[in-house]
Amino acid sequence: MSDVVLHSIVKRYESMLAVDNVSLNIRQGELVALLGPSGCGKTTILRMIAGFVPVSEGRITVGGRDLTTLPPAKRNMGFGFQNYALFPHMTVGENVAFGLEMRKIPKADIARKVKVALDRVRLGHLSERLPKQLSGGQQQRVALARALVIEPDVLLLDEPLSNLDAQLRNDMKLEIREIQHSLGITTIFVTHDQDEALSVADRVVVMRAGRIEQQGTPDEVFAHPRSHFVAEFMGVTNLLQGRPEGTDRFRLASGEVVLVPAAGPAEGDFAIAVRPESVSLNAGDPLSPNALFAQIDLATYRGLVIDYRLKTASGLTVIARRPSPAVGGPAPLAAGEKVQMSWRPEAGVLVPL
Amino acid sequence: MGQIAINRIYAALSALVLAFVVLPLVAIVWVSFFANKILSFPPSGYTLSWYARAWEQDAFRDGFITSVETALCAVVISLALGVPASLALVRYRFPGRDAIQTLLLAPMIVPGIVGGAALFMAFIELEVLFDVEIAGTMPGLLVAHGLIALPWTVRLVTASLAGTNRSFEEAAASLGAGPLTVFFRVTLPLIKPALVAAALFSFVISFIDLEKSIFLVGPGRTTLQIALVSYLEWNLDSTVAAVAAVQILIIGALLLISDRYARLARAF
Repeated sequence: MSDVVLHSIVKRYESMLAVDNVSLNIRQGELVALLGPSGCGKTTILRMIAGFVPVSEGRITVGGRDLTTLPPAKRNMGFGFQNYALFPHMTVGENVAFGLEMRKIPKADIARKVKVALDRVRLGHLSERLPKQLSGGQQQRVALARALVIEPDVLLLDEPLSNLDAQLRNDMKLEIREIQHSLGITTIFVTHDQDEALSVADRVVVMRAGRIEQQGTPDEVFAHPRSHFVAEFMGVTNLLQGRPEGTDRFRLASGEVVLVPAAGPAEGDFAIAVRPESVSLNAGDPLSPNALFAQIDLATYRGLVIDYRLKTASGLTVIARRPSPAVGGPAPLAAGEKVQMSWRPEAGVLVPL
Repeated sequence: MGQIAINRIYAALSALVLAFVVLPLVAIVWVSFFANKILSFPPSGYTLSWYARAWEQDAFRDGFITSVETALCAVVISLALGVPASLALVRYRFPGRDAIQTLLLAPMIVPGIVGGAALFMAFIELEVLFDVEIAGTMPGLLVAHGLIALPWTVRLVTASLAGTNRSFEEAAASLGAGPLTVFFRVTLPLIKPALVAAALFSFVISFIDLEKSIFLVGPGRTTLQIALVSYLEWNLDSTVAAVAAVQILIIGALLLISDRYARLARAF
């Protein structure tokens, strides 16, 4: 068993606190994404697990074995680097064989395992090439084969898709997920891209300023953000500030009262997070509790969708997103038009400010 | 129109500077073929006999061998000290790091004659202290030449290491390689161009040195440059020009090779 457990780990760089008391329990076979903006400490955590960076405080265990102070070579982990880090002076085959040589495995076995590993990423025919003769996607797959051939207890991936173009990124996303599932290897995957994290991971850990802000399944994090930071990171552009009134009413800073899902009494400053996709325009029910009159301030055509920036007379700004006519959406509206916008109370999530 | 004029002036200035650097070298090669008995102008005819005469001079032949031996040792010393030092300077942060870096590069900026005199005095002090012979011995000369070559190795290798992403070394470590294996199987191959350049540069720097060596050579251990100076004291013919021409050829070839491995300009 190789559960990865971080026990209150801290990383200090002189006066800067890069990782602030993070505890995390990753189960055998789980694929966890550490998600956050640059500088949130996610990569530092990954590098501490790999042993590249010493831990200032706390312990890291894998399957109960404490490896906080072990050098990287003794941790049996596979690491995928953002730049792939294939050894430029070795062929693809030699790169993949490197970790096996270090384990003093007989030559014949090495050749066999290298072949299996390269076939798994469909690159068996390129084993004599040098890394620089491969495309970015091929290099990434070689890097994956090299990390996996040593049968590591844990696979660590640092922004594995960030250097690939959009199409390749999608393919690679699926490939990483498939390989991970077929091998059942515990995997920790660092990214700043919420879409990557949601589509690949079993569990998403959102980080902010060295701490864990929220964690859960992709759906939990996406649908139920517990802070405005997570809401924003998950692509909610409308954060309407105000104060709860009673259990299911919310008074916006601009004065209007709207309905929110019953959340129990809460005190202080909050915002309702409403996805632009949840805001309807001219839905037709003027008595809907969350219906407000507004004027279109700006319309932005974005291919599949059109984003409308709406302003109410009271000064509230809301973004609404509708499918564009290109994909069967309604006829576009022009800036200056007066509209009625509305959203279902359940579409709003109350988050503390 | 203004830009074109500026470009022309720039080109002309560049040509002038280049001529200033290259003309003396061309001149000395030309002179080495003059048939005149005493170095003078214009040439009365051309001959190859100065090259033969140079080769017959024991002082030049022995000097050449001593210089090559010394330069090879300087290469070994400067690489053996300079590569680990560069690794420590680039890869680790420790107190006194800046001071050590400055110290390692210092021989490059201390005038040779000052460095030579300082070494000579230090050697004499040590001789008195420990009752061993250092000044005028081969080991003494080698220490000095290793010292002249060291800054070039440190400069070239630190530049190369700083430009090498650490992730290669980290990848090797996470695949199970200990620090020594990482160094020999990954780091060294990655900085090989800088190592070749450092070796060639160390060789050249040692080979052309006159100022330090002049304090440190002993009887029967004269370098080529010193042999040349001694010869010039009593003779004024084209033999010296012939020796110089051969040296220009050797050093020029070495510099061209090392420039192919690591753009020397990048190290400064």
